[in-house]
Amino acid sequence: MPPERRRSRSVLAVLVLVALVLITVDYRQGGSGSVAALQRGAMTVFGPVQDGFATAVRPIGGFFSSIGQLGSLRAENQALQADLEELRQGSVSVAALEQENAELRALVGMQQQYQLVTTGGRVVAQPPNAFEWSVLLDVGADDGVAPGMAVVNAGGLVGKLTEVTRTHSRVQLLTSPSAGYAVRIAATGETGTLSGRGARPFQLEMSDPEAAIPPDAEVVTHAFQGTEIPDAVPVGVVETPPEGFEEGARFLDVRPYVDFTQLGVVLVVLNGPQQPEEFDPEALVDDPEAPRPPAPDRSEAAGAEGTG
Amino acid sequence: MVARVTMMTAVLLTALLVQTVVVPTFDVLGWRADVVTLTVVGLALADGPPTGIRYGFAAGLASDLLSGATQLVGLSALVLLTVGYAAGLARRYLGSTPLGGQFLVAGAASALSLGLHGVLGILLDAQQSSGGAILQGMLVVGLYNLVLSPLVLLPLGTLARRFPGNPAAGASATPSYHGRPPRA
Repeated sequence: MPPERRRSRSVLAVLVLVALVLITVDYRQGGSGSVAALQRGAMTVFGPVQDGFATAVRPIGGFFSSIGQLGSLRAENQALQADLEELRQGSVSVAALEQENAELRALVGMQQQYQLVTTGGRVVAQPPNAFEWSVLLDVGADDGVAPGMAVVNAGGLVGKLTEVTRTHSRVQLLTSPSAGYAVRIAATGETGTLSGRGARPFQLEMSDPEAAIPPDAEVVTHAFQGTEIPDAVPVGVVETPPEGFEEGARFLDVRPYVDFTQLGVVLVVLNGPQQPEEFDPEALVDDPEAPRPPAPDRSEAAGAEGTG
Repeated sequence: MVARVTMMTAVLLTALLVQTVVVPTFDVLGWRADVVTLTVVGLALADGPPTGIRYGFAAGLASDLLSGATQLVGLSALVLLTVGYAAGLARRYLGSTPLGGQFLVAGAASALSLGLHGVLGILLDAQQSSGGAILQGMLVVGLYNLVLSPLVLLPLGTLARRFPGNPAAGASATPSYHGRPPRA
C-alpha cells in the first residue's frame, strides 16, 4: 500500500474513533453534559449570524416564492376582501355574543380561563440535518422567554422551547418524535398522549382504549401540573378511517392544523398554567425543636365522650 | 495551506447558513436539499479521500452542534466523513468519464448520507423514523441534490484549483495530483 494511502487510512480511523467517542459521551450525558453545553455555545455564537443572514435573504426568498404564488395570492386577496365585508356586517352580533360569552364564563366561574400573554418570534433557521424537527427563533431570554414555554401560531400548537440563549431560542416542533404531549378529545374530554412522527401524521395514544371517538374529532391540549402548555390549544383532527375505527384501536392518527414546513412568525406563550406553589418547608419538616401541640388528655377526652 | 483551510472554513460556513436559512423554504414532500453534503462531495471529488475525510468530519461536527439537544453529537460527523471518504475513492474511477459522472456521484452520495444518518439514528435510538420514510427521503434528497449538484460542484472545483494544498502535502495526499483528470 502506498504511504499516502496508509496515512489517509489512519486519519480515517482516528476521526471515526473521535466521532464514536463523541456519540458515546453525548449519549451518556444527555442534555446536561459538556457536549450539550458545546451545542448551546454554538447556538449562542451562530444564532445571531443566522439571524442576520435570514434578514438579508428574506426579501429575495419572498420575491421568488411570491412569483410562484401570484395567481393564488390574487384569488386569496379577493376571498379575504369578501370575508372582510362579511365580518363587517356581522361585527355587531359578534360583539353581543362576546358579551354574552363573558357573562356566561363569569357565571360558570371558570377557574382556569387562560388569557394568553405572548411574544412574537420570527423563525430564523432550521437544523442542517433531515431528522431533526426544530426551528430557531429570534427571541431569547432577554425577551422573557424560558425553556418549556409553549409556542403557538394561528393554526394551533407548534411546539415548546427547549434551549434558550440571551437572544435566540430553539423550538422543538410537535412533529419531533422525542417529545409527548398531553391532549384530549375536545368533544368528549377523553385524554391521551400525542407524539410526533416527523412528516407523517401525529400518533395519539388514548388513555382509555375503549373510549368512543366521534368522527373527525378535534384534539386540543390538556394542561396538567408540571407543564407550561396552556389548556385547550387546538392541535389537529383525528383522521377517521373510511371504514370507521377498529374495535379497541389504541393508536390513532392525528392530522395537525399547523403547516410545519411553512412556519414564519410564531407566538411564545409567556404565561402557561400556574405551576404548583412550592411547599412551605416548615409544613413538611417536622421540626423537633418546635413546641408540640399539647397531647390530648386521655381522661378528659374520655370524660367528654362519657358526658356527650 | 492557511489559505486553503480558510477557503474550506468559508465554504463550510456558507453551506451551513444556506442549509439552515434558505434551503428550508424550498422543501419537496417535506424533504430538504442537503447543501452541506454536496460541499463534502465536491471537495472530496476535487482533492481525494484525505480532504473528504477531514472536511466531512468538520462539516458533520458543525452540523451536529447546530442541530439542537436531541441530535447526538458525532452522528453527522461519522456519516459525513464516511461520505467524504467514499466520494474521494470514487474520484479515482471518474478519470475519463464526462462531467456528468460527478453529479451522479453527488446524488448517490447524498442518498447514502441520508440513509446512513437515518439507519444509525434508529440503531442509536436518537430518532424514530420508519424504514419507508428513510427510503423516500433517500430518493427525494438524492434526486434533489443531483439537480443542484452543478451549482455546488463546479464552483468548488474552481476554488480547489485556486487554493491547492502545499506541494509536498498535496502530492502525498492525492496520489494522482499531477495526472488529474481535466475539468471543464
